[in-house]
Amino acid sequence: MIKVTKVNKVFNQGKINETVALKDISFEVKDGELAILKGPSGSGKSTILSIIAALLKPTSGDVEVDGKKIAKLPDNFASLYRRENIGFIFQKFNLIPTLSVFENVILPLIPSNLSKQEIEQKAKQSMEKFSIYHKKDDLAKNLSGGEQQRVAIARALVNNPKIILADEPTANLDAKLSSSFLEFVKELHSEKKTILIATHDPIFFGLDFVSSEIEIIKGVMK
Amino acid sequence: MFNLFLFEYALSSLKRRGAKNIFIFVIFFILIFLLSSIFFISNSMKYELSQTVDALPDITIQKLEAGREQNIDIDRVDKLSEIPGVSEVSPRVWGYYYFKNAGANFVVVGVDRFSPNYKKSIQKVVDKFDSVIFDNNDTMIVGKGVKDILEKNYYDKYFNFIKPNGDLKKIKIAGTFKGSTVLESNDIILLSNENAREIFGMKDDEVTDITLRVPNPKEVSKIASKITIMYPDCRVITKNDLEISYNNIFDYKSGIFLSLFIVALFTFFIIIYDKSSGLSSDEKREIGVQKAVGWRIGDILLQKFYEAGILSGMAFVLSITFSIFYVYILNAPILRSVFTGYSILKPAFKLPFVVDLQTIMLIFFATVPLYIAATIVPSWFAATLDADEVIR
Amino acid sequence: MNKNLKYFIVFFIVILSFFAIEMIVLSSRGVDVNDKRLFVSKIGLPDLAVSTEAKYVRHRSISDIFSIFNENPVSVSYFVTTFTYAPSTNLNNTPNIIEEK
Repeated sequence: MIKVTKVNKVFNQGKINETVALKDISFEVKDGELAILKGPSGSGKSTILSIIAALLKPTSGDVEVDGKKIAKLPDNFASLYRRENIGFIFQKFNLIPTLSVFENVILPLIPSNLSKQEIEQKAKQSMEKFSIYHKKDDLAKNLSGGEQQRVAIARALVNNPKIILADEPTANLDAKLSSSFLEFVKELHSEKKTILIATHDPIFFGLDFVSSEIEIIKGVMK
Repeated sequence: MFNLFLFEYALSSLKRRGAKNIFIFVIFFILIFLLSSIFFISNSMKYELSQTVDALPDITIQKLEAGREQNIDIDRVDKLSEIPGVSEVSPRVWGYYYFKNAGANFVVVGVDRFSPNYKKSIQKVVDKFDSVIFDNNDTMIVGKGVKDILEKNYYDKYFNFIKPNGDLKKIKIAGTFKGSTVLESNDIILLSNENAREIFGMKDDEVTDITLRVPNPKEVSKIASKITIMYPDCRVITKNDLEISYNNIFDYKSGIFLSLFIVALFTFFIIIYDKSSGLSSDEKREIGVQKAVGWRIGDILLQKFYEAGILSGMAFVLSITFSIFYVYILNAPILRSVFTGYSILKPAFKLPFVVDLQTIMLIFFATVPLYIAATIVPSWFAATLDADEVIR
Repeated sequence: MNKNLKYFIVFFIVILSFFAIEMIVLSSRGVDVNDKRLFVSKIGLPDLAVSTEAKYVRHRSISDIFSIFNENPVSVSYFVTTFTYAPSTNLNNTPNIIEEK
């Protein structure tokens, strides 16, 4: 379960370009639920996801994931927490273009001291699930947008995380790819993953398997 | 525990920035190659000198007038032999002969007499020793360099010295000093004292310098001080002084090490400045992504450590290996000119193989850790940034 | 084990073997120290015949200060090798001050 309590985030605090990105954000996402963070660009949705992923520390407030407070985790513990619990799908995919599909997918596994067989098995499983295994030796920069997305998803899921965070996943996709992404989401939801998607793409709105829609406008919850 | 995947990732990371890394590798290689070659050459030369210092005379006496060496009166020899502790006094006639046609300086050394004892021992270091010719008075034994120069100038079996009065003095060649002594004997011509005096136009009652044998090493400095009092116009050089002089042949005053140091520092400054002026945006992004998928700072730094270690370590091993090959098997072409200079007579630069761990460690610690640090520090800065900023 | 690692290992092994071979070859080179020492004891002159440019380079251990300033007091180092070899400590006619204990 993800529990966000009175989270505030101020960027460049005390400086001339001080910005209040989030103000008193509180919500809950229970295990296995699919929640949508909706709102226009710049409203702070990505910031919330980053805070939940411990990529960013809130200025004040608390975030609890499975009972553990993660808001003020020191850097090393934050990384470990991410590695073991979070699968993050970035808006721009953030693949490493000069690495192959396989190498991109195993990136989260490299520092974890697993055996060669384990790593290869997990990577294969993930790549096959998202139909990208046949391109495993191709360089990421040579893939199409849809293929890159599948690699990004495969990477996010290679460690079988409980929580999946997606930041504007369909922003760079056409309608066809957007709907295939929706299919992925449905499948993940059926596997009881906790999913939080930040988006302003209407294809996610009003769906029956979405448990909550949290609207954020200019850093404030509606 | 060694993480093979992390190591492989480091290797692939090096390959992905191939051009830049190859450039750094080459610079590193050249720098370490240069440093180590010069260290090896100078260490070997010092070793060569130290091997023979023991065989030198215990005391050498030279007369100085206005800071300039002058010939010594031969009657000083008797007075010197009276000093207790001195077992042998040998007046020497030697000097330089300039062979104009070749532009070469020969060192002409006279010996008291080619006595049978002397002949027996000197034969051991002479190649193609012709006994018949040797027994004839006007003969000489020459170093290999001398022989080569003479042959080039069509003097095959003898040489015509030009005396100070313009007359010629023909001396036959009785043999060449062995190749194993070439570093010491290359430019030497050994002949009788009489011939040496004739060639130099030196009077019979004069000698170039005087050497003494003092069997008890503890007495040397006492005797040296005595001689300084006896003959204040003389400079007394003991074997110990010669050894000290050998030790300082490549000290900080010798330009070569100073300039080497400056070049090394400069090269390093360039590489480190480039590295520490921050990572490229690509590299920063990659670190951001790594953090985002769960790499800790320690994992990232370990990867960078492997990268820098592989690059600098490989360059180091390769350049040391090649440097040893260059100095001791190829005999250091081009670089040896720094040590032989403009001389016409250059010996075969076959140096004794002296590669000690100390020198290699010195070069290693002066180069590799610096580069690794220069790589890790900016990566550490990038890794401690909020990953969030980098990947948005 | 991927391609890069294989190349790296091969490269490393090749260099190390080359290093080992040349160390073995060079260490087994005979050195005729006795010849050198015999020669030096018979001739009695110090220093190596590596550079014969000038007296204070060729016989630097027993050369005088005059030969350095010979041409011109200003032009002390106009031979390449005066850059390489430091001037001898014996140059300034210092009497032997080292006392054997």
